[in-house]
Amino acid sequence: MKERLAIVDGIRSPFCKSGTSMANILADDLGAVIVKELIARTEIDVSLIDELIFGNVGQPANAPNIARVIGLKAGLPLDVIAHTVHRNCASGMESVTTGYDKLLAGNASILVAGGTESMSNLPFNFSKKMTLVFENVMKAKSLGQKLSAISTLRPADLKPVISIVEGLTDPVCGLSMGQTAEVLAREFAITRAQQDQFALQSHLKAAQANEAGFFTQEIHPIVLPPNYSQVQFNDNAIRPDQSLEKLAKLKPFFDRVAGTVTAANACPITDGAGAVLIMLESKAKELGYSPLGYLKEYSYAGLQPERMGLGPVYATSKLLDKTGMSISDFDLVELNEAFAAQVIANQKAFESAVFAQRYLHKDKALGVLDSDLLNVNGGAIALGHPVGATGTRLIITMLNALRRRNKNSGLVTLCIGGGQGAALALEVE
Amino acid sequence: MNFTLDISQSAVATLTFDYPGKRINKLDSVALLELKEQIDSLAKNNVVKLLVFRSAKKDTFIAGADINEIKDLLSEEQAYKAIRTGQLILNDMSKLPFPTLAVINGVCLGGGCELALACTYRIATDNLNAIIGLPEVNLGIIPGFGGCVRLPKLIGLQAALQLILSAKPVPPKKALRLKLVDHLYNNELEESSVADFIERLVNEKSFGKGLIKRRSISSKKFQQRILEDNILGQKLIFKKAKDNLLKKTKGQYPAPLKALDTIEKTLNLKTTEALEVEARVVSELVVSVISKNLIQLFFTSEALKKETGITEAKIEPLIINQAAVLGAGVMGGGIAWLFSKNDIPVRLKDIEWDAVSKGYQTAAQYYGQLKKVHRITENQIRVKMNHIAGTVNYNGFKKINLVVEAVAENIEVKKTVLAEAEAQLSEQAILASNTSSLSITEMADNLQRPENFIGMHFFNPVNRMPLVEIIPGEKTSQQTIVTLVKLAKNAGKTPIVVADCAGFLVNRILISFLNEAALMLQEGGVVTEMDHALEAFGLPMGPFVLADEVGIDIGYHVAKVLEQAYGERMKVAGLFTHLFVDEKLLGKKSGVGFYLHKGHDKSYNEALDKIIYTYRFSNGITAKAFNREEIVDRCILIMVNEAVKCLQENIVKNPAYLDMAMILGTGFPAFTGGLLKYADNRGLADICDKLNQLAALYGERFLPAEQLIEKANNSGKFYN
Repeated sequence: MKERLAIVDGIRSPFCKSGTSMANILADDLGAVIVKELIARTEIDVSLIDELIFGNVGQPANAPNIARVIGLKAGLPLDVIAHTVHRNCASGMESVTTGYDKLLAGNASILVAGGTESMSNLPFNFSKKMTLVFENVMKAKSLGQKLSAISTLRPADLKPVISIVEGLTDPVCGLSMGQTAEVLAREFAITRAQQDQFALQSHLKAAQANEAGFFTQEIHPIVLPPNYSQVQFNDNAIRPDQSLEKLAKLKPFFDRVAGTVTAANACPITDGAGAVLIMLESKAKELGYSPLGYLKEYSYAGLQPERMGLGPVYATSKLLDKTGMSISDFDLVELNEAFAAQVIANQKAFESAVFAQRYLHKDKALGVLDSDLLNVNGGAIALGHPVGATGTRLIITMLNALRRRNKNSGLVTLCIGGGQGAALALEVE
Repeated sequence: MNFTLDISQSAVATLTFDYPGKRINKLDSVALLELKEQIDSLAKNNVVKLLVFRSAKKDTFIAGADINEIKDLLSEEQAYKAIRTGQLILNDMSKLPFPTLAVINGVCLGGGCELALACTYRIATDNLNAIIGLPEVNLGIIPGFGGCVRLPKLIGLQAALQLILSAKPVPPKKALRLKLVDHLYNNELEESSVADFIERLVNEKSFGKGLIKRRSISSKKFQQRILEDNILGQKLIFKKAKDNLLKKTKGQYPAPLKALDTIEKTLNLKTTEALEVEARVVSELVVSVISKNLIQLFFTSEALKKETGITEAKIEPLIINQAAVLGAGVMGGGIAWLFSKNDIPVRLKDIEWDAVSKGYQTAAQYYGQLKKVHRITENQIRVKMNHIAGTVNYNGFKKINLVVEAVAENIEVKKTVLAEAEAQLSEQAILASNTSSLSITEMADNLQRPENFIGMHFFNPVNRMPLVEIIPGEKTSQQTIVTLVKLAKNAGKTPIVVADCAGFLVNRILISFLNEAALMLQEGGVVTEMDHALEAFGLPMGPFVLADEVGIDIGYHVAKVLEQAYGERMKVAGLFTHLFVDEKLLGKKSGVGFYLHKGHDKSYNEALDKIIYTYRFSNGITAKAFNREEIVDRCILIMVNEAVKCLQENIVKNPAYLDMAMILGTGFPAFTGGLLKYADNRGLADICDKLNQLAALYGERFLPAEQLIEKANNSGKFYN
C-alpha cells in the first residue's frame, strides 16, 4: 500500500451563478483570496511550501499559467513554483492527484492544490475573418490600404465567437455537453420527470445543508469588487423554493424538439474557487496537523466523448480494481451533477450487470449507488459547477460530510468533458 | 579640488565635478569659483572641440546650490553679488567657443539644472530614480542662475512655467519629451553609450544640428506654436497662470508669482539684460522672511529623514512583512490601504463582515483616486487589493509582525481588543494603537508584553496626510520605536516621535484652538467671519469648517479627554457642549453642522443664529464684536502658548519638529514656518505682552508659559 495523501484543510469561495455577484472578480484574484485564507487558516510556514498547483479550464489570456499569478498574488514567496493543470471538469481534482504523485515520487513535500474558474469572464472573441481584417489594417501603410482592408468585412464577420459555447462543445464528436446528456437520457431511457425529480432533490438537500450551516465551515466569504459594498457568504444558485411545477415549465434546451434536458435539470454556469493544503500523511503528523481527511487512491478513465457523462462508472471500476474495495465499502458518495440525466444514467450503469459485462469487462455489476448516500448535501445542479474548481469542492465537501456524519469512507467521482471520468477514494480516519 | 579637467587626444575636454567629502555635488561658492577658473582657462583653449560636463557621484549630477549658504544671505546687496557671480560663470560657460554637453547621470536640481541649461546639449540617464527640475519656489525663491531665462527659450513658455511654478522635478522620460534633454542613454551601459554619443557629436557634423533641430519651433505642436509665438498668446498664458497661482497660493506664497512675473518681464529681453532682472528678483526674495521660513522647513524635513526616533544607534529596526489592522472603519481601511500600497500583506479584521467591507471600500476609494491621476493601473490595483485579506477571526495572526489597532476611541474597548490580539501573536510581534488621544501607558496595563506596544497615530485621510505621531509608552522598547519610525518612513510618511500625554502633540494644540474659537463664538463671534479671518491668516480651513470636516462628535470627545487631563485651561466651551449634546450637530458626515453640506458645496447653517442667540441669552452673555486681529490673536496665540507648554514638558524633541508636526498634521501654513517660528518672527516679547493682555481679558489660560517668558526676557528665540 502506498502512503496516503493528507488533506490538511480545505476552503472554497461561495459558488455563484455566472453574471451574478462574483462576476467582477477574475479567476486569478478569486483563487488568490482563497489560497491566502487557506494559508492563514492552516498557519503553514509559507517557506515550507514547494509548489502551488491549480486547475483552471477557461484559462484567461491575461493570466497565463494562472497558478503562478495566484501564487504571487496570494503572497507566496517568489521561489514557490506554480503550474496550472487542465483536465476539463476534473481540473480541481487533477491538481490534487498530480500533487499526490509528486509527493510520492519525492519531488515535493508540501503543496497547495486547488481550482478556480470565473465563467462570467470567459470572453467573446472576434471571428477568424475579423481578426485577419484587423491584422491587415494594422499592417496597412496608407489610408487607401486601410480602407481596402476594411472593405472586405461582411456583416456576418461581426458575429462573435463565444468562448463558453465553444468550450462546452466537444471538438471531436461535435456535441455540446448538454447534447451528450441527451445521448445518455436516450441510452438509459430516462424521462424528463425523473430528471426533474432528481434536480428538485438536489436543491432541497442543498437548501437544507445550507440552512443547517453545513457549508459555512468550508466557505470563505468574498468581499465583492468593484465596489466592495457587498459580501458574498453563500452559494447563490440554491433554490429552496424549487418545485416540480417550476421545473416542468422549462423547455428542453439542447434538443428543443424531443429532448428532456433543461437548463434547470442541468448544473448552472458558475464562478468559484477552492484550495487544499496537501502533504503525505507522515509529513502532516510530523508538523502536528490533524488533517481534514486523506486520499487513499484515485483513478481516471477514458470513454467515448459523446458518452462522457458515464465517466464515473468507468473511473470507479478502475478504482475498485486498484484498491480491492467494493461499492458497499463507501459510506457516502459524491457524484458530480453535471446533468440530472447523467447522474441517473450512472446509477443505472453502476447496478447493471449487462453494462459491466459489455463495457467494463466484468461479470457482475459494480454495485448499487444508494440514493440516500449519494450527494447528501445536494450537488452541482443546486450548488453550481465552476468547472476548474468543482473537483476541489467535491473533496472538501465529502470530507466535511463524512465528519459531520461520523463516517469514514467516501467515493468522489466526476464526469469529464471530452470523454473521461475521475474517481477518488477518501477517508477521514 | 572640486573639478578635474581631462583633454583627450581627440580634443574632447571632460570636466568632472567631484565635491570633496560628500555623496552628492552641490554648487557652493568655493565650487563656483573653481568652476570659474576652469571655464576661464578653457575659453582660451583653441584646440578643444567639445566640453563634456560630468559628475563623479553615483546617481547624482548636481543636487543644487548650497542651501546653507542661501540661508545665511541676510542683505539684498550681499545676495545680489553672490547670485550674480554664479549666474555670470554659467553665462561664460554658455559662451565658450566650442559646444558643451552635460551628461546628467542622476539627480539634477536647481543650480545643477541651470548649469545643464547653460550647456549646448544635455543627455540624461534613463535610470528611473533620476530627476531633473527647478524646485526653487519651494524654498520661497526663484531660479537664479539663468533658469527663468533659459528654460522658456529651450522648452517653450507653457512647459517652462509648469516646471518652475510647480517646483516638481520630472523623470528622464518626461524630460526627453519636454526636450529638456536631447537624448537618454542606457543607465547600465553608461560608459559605452555616452562615449558613442560624444563620438558622433564630434565627428558627425549633422548630428548636433539634428539634435538642435529636434528642439526647434517647427517641431512644436501646432497648438503650442499659435499660443507661444505671439504676444497676445503669451499674455493669455501669463494671465491664466497667474489666476491659477492666486487660487492655489491665496497670494500667501510670493515666490511662484515672482517667478511668473520675472519670466514675463524677461521673455523678450536679451539674455544679459534678462539675467540681471532675474538676479535682482532672487536677491530680494532670498532675504525675505517667507524664504527663510521655507528653508528652515527644508532643513527640518532633511533632519526628520535621518531621524531614527531613538538615540541608541546600534538597535536595528525589525522587518515588518506581515501586518494586520483591527477595526475596518475609515482609519482602519486607510491604514490597510497604506500597507497594501507598500506591498505589505495585511489582514483586516473586524467583528462582522459588513464592517470589513467598509475597510475594503476605503482602500478601493484611495486607489481609485490614484488611478484617476494615472498614478496606478487597474492591474496594479488588483495586485495591491489582493494584499488586503478581510477576516472576522484571528486566523494567521501567528505569522504577523505588526498589528495596528484602530477600533472605537474608548479606552476600555481598546484595552480588551489589544489584550485579545496580543494573545494571538508571536512573542516578537509589535502591537500599535492608532489612538488620537488616549494614554498609551494606560492601554498597556493589561498587556503581557508592554515593551512591544506603542502608539501610531495616523491622520485622516490616511492617503493624504503625511504625518504619523509615534508615541512610546512608559515601557515601550527602543526596538519598537525604531521599527515603527522606519516603517512609517518606508511607507512614505513623516513619523515624529512624541511623548504620551493626552491628545499627544497635534491634537492637544489643535483642540486648544478649536475650543478657543468656540469660546469666541459664544461670546459674540460670527462663524463665517471667524473662519474667513483665520483662512486669511493662512490656515487651510477656519475652525468651524474644520470642526465640520473632522466631525463635531469626534472633536467634542477629544476635547473632553483633554479637559479631563489639563483641567481649567482646556475646559470645553459651553456652546461646544450645547451644540453636540443638545443640538446633536455632527458636521459634514450628517450634512448639518456649522455649515449645511450638500456634496462638495457648503453654506452657513442659518439655524445656528437662533441656537447661539438663545444660548447667549440663557447664559446671560452679552454679545461682543471681534475684529480680525483679535480673532487671529486669540486663536493662534492660544496654540503658541500650548506649543511652548509641550516643549517644556518634552512632548517633542525640538521646536522644529513641533512646527513640522503642526504643518503636516493640521495644514498650519508653511509660509509662517510653523507656530514657534511664527512666534520667533513676531518677537517673543510681543507675544508675551499680547498673551498677558488676553489673560487679563479672557482668563488664565492665556498666561504665557514659563519658557516663553524666560526666552522673551533674554531676547531668546526658539530657533537659533
